[in-house]
Amino acid sequence: MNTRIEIANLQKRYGRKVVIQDMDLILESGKVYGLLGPNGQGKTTLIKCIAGLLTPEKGQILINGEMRETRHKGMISMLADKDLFYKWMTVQDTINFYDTFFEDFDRADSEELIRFMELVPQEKVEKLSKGMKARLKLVLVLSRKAKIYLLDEPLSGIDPVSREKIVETILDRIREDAIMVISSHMVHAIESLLDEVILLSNGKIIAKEEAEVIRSEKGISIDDFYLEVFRHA
Amino acid sequence: MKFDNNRPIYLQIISEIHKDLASGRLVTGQKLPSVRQLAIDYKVNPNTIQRTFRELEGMGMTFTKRGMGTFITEDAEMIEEIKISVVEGYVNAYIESMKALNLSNEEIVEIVQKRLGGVA
Repeated sequence: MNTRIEIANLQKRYGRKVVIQDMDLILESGKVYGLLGPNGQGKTTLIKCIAGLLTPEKGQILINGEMRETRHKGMISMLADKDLFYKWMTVQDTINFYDTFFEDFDRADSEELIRFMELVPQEKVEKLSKGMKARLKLVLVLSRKAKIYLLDEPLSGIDPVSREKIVETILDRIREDAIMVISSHMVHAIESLLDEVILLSNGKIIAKEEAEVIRSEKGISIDDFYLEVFRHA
Repeated sequence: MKFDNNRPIYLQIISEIHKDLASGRLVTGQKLPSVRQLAIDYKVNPNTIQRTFRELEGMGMTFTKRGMGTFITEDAEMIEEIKISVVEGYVNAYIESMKALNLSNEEIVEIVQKRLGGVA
């Protein structure tokens, strides 16, 4: 079944600071969206609103035509910038933890991903390097057969080898029936993954365009398009 | 392979397939890998491959058999034309860059002959 997110007139504030302003956005399954913009433009806030971790002051988020509710949480698999593991956990413990917690967790797939990412099941999570930890987080998030994937900065501060592994894994898990949103300020690294590009500035969408349209009509890469837009923003 | 991010990726994949036809790595009637497989091979979004397939079919270069996949056309003449156009593309690009260096036709031919003589 297809999935559709409709965001209308969304507004989110932290105190007096408006972080998301009157935003309208439609996201459809089968597509990979790049949520792009420099730091502090509202990317994480938008993702958290969709995930239900933040409550907006105004506007609505509809998932398949219904108001976003707690029960929709089961449809959403999110990669947060924070680490959510206990210190004592091994790689295997995190897998077991996710497996008991999420109904849609695909254990066989997680084992395949662990191998591909060259993670060692017995290893303690706190001993992992930043790159390996990022790999593990992605394994956990993508092992869930969710309808909506929200990946917040999956590549930030990650070494090039891990980056390549992560991009390849995301690529391999793109599904017809799922929406994938990837936020990043490292445009170049995710360029070939994206169907559509959403540029965020000051809590507003300043551009939403198909990746191939940017390349064919403007004759430039997404990376250059991004620079062109934000240099003047 | 690495793509030029300034040009539509689906067009670049189409020219890769053209090259494979010219070199004989792909032949008439041959089945193409699945969308998923090609997406992984080329490291691009499956929708990009789908777009590539749509364009190829639109140009008559491939056809789909229901439930069996996508196949290279059985039109040998068409494949021959593609081969010629790939070769011509390279030759033209070469001649153009030589002309930009102010070489005459005779000089270009001489250089190529000398070079090939040296290799063979």
